[in-house]
Amino acid sequence: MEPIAPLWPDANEEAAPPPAAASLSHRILWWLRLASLALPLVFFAWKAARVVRVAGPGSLSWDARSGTADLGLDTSRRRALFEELASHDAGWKKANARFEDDWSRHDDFHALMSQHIVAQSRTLGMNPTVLCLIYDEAVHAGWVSAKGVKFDARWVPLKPRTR
Amino acid sequence: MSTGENRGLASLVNVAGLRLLLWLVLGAWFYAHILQNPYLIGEGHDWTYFTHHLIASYRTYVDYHQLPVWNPYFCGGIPGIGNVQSMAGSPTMIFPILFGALPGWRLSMLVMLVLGMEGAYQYAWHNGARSLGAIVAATCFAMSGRFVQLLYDGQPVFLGFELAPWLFVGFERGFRDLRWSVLGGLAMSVVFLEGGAVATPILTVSLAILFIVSTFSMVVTRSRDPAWWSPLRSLLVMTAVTIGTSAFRLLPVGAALLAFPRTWEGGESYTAAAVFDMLFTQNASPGYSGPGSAYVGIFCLLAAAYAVAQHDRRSLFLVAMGFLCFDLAMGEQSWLHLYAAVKHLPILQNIRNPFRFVVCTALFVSVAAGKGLWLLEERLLRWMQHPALDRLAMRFRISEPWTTRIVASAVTILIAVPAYFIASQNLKYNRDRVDRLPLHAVGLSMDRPFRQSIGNRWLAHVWPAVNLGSIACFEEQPFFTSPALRGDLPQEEYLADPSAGTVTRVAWSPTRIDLDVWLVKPATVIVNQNYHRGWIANHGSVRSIDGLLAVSVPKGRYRLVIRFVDRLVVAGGVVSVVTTSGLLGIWGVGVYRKRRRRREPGAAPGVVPASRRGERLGTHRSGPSDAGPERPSPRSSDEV
Repeated sequence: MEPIAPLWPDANEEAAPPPAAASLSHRILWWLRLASLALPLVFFAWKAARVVRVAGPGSLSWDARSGTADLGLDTSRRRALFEELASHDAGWKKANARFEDDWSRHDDFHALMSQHIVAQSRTLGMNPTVLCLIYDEAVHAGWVSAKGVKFDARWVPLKPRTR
Repeated sequence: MSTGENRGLASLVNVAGLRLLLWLVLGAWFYAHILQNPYLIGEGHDWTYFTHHLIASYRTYVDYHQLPVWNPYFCGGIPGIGNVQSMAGSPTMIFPILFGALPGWRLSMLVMLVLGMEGAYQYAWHNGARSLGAIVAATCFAMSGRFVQLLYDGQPVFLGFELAPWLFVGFERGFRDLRWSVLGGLAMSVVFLEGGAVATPILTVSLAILFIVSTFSMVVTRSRDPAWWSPLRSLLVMTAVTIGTSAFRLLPVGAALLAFPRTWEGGESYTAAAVFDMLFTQNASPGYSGPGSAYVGIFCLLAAAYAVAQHDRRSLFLVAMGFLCFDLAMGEQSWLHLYAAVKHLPILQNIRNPFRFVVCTALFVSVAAGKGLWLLEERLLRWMQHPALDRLAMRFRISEPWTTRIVASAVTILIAVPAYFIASQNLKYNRDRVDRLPLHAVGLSMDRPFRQSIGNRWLAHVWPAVNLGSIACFEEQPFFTSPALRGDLPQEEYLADPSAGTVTRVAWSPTRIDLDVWLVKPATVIVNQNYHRGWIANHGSVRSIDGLLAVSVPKGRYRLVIRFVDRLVVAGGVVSVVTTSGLLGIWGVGVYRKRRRRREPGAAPGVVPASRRGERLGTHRSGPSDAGPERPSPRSSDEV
């Protein structure tokens, strides 16, 4: 009958070998083991170089003179995109009237707006950041849409999430 | 014929460099989709949330060369390092800092995956699994479904769960060697620093259960080596190291949690069948906690069952631990009411998402499966020690070392078949899910003067990239936010009474605002950010007006500097530096003493003076990486 193995690995199983043996072969092996650590480092460096080389989404420049982002769009185009966004304002507000508290109403309004921005950016082949900045700069400049819509610049303090 | 662990494949895998290379290659293959598209993020809301926190921290580190103790980019300003969900203070931030925010983040995910594989390998090795068994345990755990589901849910910061095996192996090996407890404590520290709002409590509870079960088993079996108090000692060292090294974050997070608790009143429950399906059933779209969301595969379970059937006590222990975590994952429906008991404990009453305990179940099952494979390999080797084979070897004049190699290779090839089925079932399903992860473009970046915008929390990642704050926000913790915050003001810093003079911004950074003030009478400067006790100014006094940061200043013309200095971060930072220095010092002294001992006359290679034998047993424990070719065991050297 085979002896039952102990539940915890015994000390001899866990204990390290004696201090590095002085024989040449052991020393060579020890150095080879140490040198092997260079392999994962080289592979990681190669992988990192490949990841870093992937082209990013790019960047926008800031026009300090006009105090606006250089989006590559003229004012009339910006205005048209703002009008398009503002045209949904009433519908979004109507949709979130079902919420009882202010925070949830504001949040739902923004959820619908973000969905629209993402969809619109795909349709127009624009990065969502461009549409977000048009919205932001319109609020900053106090633009009012043709139908009298002016986006709210206030927010409601955070509320605890309980479930 | 040798039956030791240093044969064939096992010898190769025991070389740390080769093993890490294997993990990296596997990890790069597994995460190929997200590594090839570092600038795309998933569609879940949490993707935008965590990407926001990453970019905000990155900007603070790289653009402003400051520690991200304050995040002005969200909610009008909230704690940075003091936010339990932020990875601002994580050691893995080094990758975004070095390689760019998003590429670096992906590389940090790869590193966490590699750490998970290595940790599971170490834990499997500790439990007696070797060779292919330990490799299978490592891959089955680290690439299990829960870690893929995190990518769908947009919660890459929860990859801290990958460090679970380091906690357990650190704790268990710490029974005899406290250096392992220190390692376990460091791992726990990283879990917490990584934004471990969920991983920290869940892994703490799992570790506590392991502690209770270990102590109980030692008391019942009257274990002398290790002694019954060893688990307590190991746990205390781990706790001290965790608290010490993460104090710079622990203190502000603790203060923030006391002031703004994360409340969770909802009950969560899952049937045993539902939890089983998470782990062992494949599903095209598992969802947050649906079938297949934590997939390890049924073959893995079968291999674990084989290990138990071999009367292997460690495997039985592992399966028992796996069952306890399974029971916890059932939440309110827990058979043993463990989850309800946990919810009665202080701090943990707001624990949520019990289904995440399946990560620990996946680990214990994977390690037991690895042990099962190793036991099968051992059995095959014993079968191959048949006298007929020896006669055959003699007939063809094959020397014994070569016979051993041939037999070991044949056994490895035979074992590779079940190992392939176990690993491939898991990897194919989970890797396919990574490949199918829907991704979309992240925002553009821009350098511009900072100001608060109304923003949009559903596109939270857009705003810090263009140096704008989003006062529209969502946080699990109801941090203090002022109702007087406004987006898109003409000026972010202004006077409450405009007739008192002028205020002009000279320089802005997340934790320091320099203003030129010219006042004809005492006035109040208001900053469009939330008030926090950490704000200080070089003139006047800082106070809150309607929740906004305000400074009452005297008349005159001067430079007003408003800075954010969180004393809790400073005090915690001192503790963390002292702890880390202490650990490094102890390690250095250990290395110095070891070298000096070697130089002592009469210390022949492989022979340790009798007076130090016990000491050696206490200080020289090896991991798999140290296990080299067959060497005399301490017992045999004692006999020398």
